[in-house]
Amino acid sequence: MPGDAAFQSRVLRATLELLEVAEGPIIVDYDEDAAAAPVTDEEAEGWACPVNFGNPKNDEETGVAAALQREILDLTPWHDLSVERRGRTTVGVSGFEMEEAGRYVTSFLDDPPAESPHEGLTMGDVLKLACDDLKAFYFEAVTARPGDVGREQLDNWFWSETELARVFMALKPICLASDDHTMRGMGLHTLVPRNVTGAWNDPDI
Amino acid sequence: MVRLSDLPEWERDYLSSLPCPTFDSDPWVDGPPLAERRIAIISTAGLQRRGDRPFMEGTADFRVIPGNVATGDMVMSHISVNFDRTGFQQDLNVVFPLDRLNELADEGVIGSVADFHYSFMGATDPRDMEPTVRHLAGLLKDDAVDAVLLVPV
Repeated sequence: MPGDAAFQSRVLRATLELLEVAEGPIIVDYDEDAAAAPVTDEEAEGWACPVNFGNPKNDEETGVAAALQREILDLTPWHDLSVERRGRTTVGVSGFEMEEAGRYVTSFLDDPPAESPHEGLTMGDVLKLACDDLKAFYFEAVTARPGDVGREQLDNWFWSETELARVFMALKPICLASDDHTMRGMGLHTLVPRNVTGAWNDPDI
Repeated sequence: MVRLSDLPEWERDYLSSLPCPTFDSDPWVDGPPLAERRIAIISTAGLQRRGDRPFMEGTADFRVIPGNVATGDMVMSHISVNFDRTGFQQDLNVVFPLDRLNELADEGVIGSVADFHYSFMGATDPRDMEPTVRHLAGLLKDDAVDAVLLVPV
């Protein structure tokens, strides 16, 4: 339960006290439920993305790459607020700034880079990290405002309303056709989640 | 706690059908009282310090997380896209309860907190991790750790 230190402490203490049980193996339920976060759209009624992505794009800003850059810019003030409120960000596995990450990812749609920008990592490795960073940026930004929002609500928002999700969907077949092992893995199961693809029998990843 | 009944049907069915390993024996050891135990966290969340080597598909080794790590230095490179990361994004303690562990040490509930903690990336087959885990056991002994908090993600 994020932000509930008292609840976390009770869970942790109950867990560690199992070390003092005299005989085992042991497995026990923890009876106290965390305060329920909304899960469905109905339960999270009232939540809305703070950014309206429906803004018309001007003549210079057409195409997927430009649309993604616009979206990143629209979310940046909310991500700044997230960092201010939480005192941290989990963005940063790729080493890219977000606009740079966006450019790197969309380049795979029509003009893939000739070589990896990071020593020791393949182009596919860096693509995976850039995608993960962008997604973390989006989710941190959109949850910057106080208020509960559930997993299903966030998933629906991300996968149905964002340009980044459309980029991911467009990348999937490109990854599947790639010679790069990491990119093929992304195309199979580490770019678009099972609850979007419906591929429930995919490996446990 | 999260119960199977709380999960979406596809996730409930998936988890319910996972094979459960069996063991030839059920070893059980006693240890010192909780108030004297030195405890380390071992996570499978693919946690790393910012700038450390990211986890990739098949990575079977671990990342070291110093006990004095700054919360803002922690990032996650777990390869899976199938779990909700928003809890981690809001509060590191959801997956890596270092603050809570330090508080319990300050209160005397546990003896002490280890100098180093460790993260694996749980999408790797655990059997591939065995050599690394045996090495890690030695590191934990060197740190005088006598209990670990396994935090699966």
